[in-house]
Amino acid sequence: MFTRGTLIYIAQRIVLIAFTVVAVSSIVFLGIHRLPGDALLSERLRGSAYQILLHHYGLDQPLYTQYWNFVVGVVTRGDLGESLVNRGLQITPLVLRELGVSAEVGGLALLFTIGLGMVLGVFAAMRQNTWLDYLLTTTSVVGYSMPNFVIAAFLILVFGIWLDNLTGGTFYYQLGGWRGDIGQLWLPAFALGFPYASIVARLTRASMLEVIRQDYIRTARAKGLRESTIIIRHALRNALIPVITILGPLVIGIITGSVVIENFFGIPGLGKEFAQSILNRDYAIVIGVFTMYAAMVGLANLLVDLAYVVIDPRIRY
Amino acid sequence: MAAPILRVRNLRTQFSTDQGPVTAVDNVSFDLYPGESLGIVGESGSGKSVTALSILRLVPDPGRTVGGSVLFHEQDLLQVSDEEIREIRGRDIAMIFQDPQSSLNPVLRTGFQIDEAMLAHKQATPRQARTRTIELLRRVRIPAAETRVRDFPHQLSGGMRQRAMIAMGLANSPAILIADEPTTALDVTVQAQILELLGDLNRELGTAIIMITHNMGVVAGLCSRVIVMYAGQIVEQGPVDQIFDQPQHPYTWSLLRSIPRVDAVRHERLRSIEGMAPDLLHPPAGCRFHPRCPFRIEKCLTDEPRLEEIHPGQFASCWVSMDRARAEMNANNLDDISPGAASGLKPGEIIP
Repeated sequence: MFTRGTLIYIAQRIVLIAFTVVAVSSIVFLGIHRLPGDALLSERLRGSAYQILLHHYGLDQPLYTQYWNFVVGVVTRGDLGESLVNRGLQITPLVLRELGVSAEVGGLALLFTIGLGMVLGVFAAMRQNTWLDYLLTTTSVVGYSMPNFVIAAFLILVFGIWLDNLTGGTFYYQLGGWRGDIGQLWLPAFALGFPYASIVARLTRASMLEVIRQDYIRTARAKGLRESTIIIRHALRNALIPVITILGPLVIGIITGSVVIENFFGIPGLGKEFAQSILNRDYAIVIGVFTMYAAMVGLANLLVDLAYVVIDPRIRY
Repeated sequence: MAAPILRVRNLRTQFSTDQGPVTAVDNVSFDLYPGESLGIVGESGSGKSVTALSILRLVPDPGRTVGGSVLFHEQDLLQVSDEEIREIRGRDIAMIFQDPQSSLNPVLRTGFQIDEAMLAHKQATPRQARTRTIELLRRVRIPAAETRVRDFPHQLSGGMRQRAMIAMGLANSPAILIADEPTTALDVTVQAQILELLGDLNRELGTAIIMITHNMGVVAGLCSRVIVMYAGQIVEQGPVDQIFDQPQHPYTWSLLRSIPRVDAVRHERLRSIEGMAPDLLHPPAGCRFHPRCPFRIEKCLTDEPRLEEIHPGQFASCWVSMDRARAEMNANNLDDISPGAASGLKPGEIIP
């Protein structure tokens, strides 16, 4: 499946992603320092105390020196620096831990997007023009018409207030907490994934309806295969090809959507940090978070492109 | 002759459209004998493919077989359960299709698609199936069969794909192989190879073949008996030699006349049948061929002819029949074949 050419292609893409990540962090670095004021201003320090802190963070040096030190730190030690607000807090381990939390929520959201979307799409296609099809189609129109924060607010209303015995009325995410607690993982992932699941469902439905009219499905029937084998083995794989095309933008949608959802459900992930660090003017964290986001978007696109190779043997890099 | 292996009686298949039902197959009856090779010819839309699909209940929506029976081993295939017909498909009656490009699944390996035909009927373990697949690919003369089994369809040539389709059809040694225009999408040299292959398999394995085609040459090369269809009905059937020599239905006669000949006088125009195939939503009254027939008489416009045995084993549904047309209307030396030209019943004289 993965030939030598594919491996070379992957290597090239990873080099490109590395360049992109460095470019993004440079732009963010330069951009954020152009903003008037700085993180220390909010502490209303005067005189020598202010100067001491400026010196501690190297903020009194010329911008190009600061930038050079930053790049050297990132490239040689993977060191994104120290938080300006929480003194002594190292950014790299913080951001990596938050990345793990976000990946858990985002991964589950992606599972909803693909799994739920595909299952609903296939059922709608198989029962075309029946009440089930209309129900699923209507649900998915509602799903992708609603922004994720509306779904999130609705879920909090239902599960936090009306059905509060399911969640204890709290949604607080605990590191290492119980994964079966719907409030801490399942509901946020659902809110994040459902709009995209609706898009995948509609696309899968249309694509399935197209595929089951193909000649090779007739061949499969003429061979005497069971209907379930025909759908799963012969139709679904072909129907997924157009779905993968849209998966790239959807994965990025999930990554950016997590900024909103993590704030809604109090999840201490990268998305929550993203918003928080900008409000705090915490330069180092802002840059660190942006860098992680750039890397994730790049890798997500690479994975989507590789998914083509797995699904469609006619595509080779 | 032995008892027929397949008896099709009064088969009727309709497609429902917004304007009403279209009867694509209208009262078709024929027998298929073990080991024989039967051709079904007709132009596009004559119902030949739908007839074949109806036998295996593979007619696509909105089509529906509304009447008749298809008897195979004392079972009416139109009445058995979905599970029973599924077991018969591919095991007892296999079918191969026109366009090998689109008839193989692009995302599955060719060998696997052949294995599947056996595995679906629990005829073999996966390992046995693979051994037999390689054997079948060799038998249909695919070179380097051991490595080709692992190829995806897009890595094979058109001819090889059709050979792989045939191998798939033969996987379970079916009693009947229905070939729906298997050579139409292929170029002429490959066509000849595929036909030769089908002929060999027919002789060596004793598989009965129903060959659906619009090409009289294919019928001449492969079949012993032929059915000619027009507008959803059988207009003539009989032994190939007899029909090529003495066609009795004016449609068959026109079809044979329109085959281009290498030995023809140069610059002679290609002969075609004037007019268009009828609209099956509103088929013509009387004989369905009368609007295009040079030999039509008054009766043809109102009364529907039935299949009658004109020579031993040769049936035609025509009020005139070519024996009479040759004797009375000078059919052998006819240049003008416009509707009614030979009988004198011109278009202007018809009051619909």
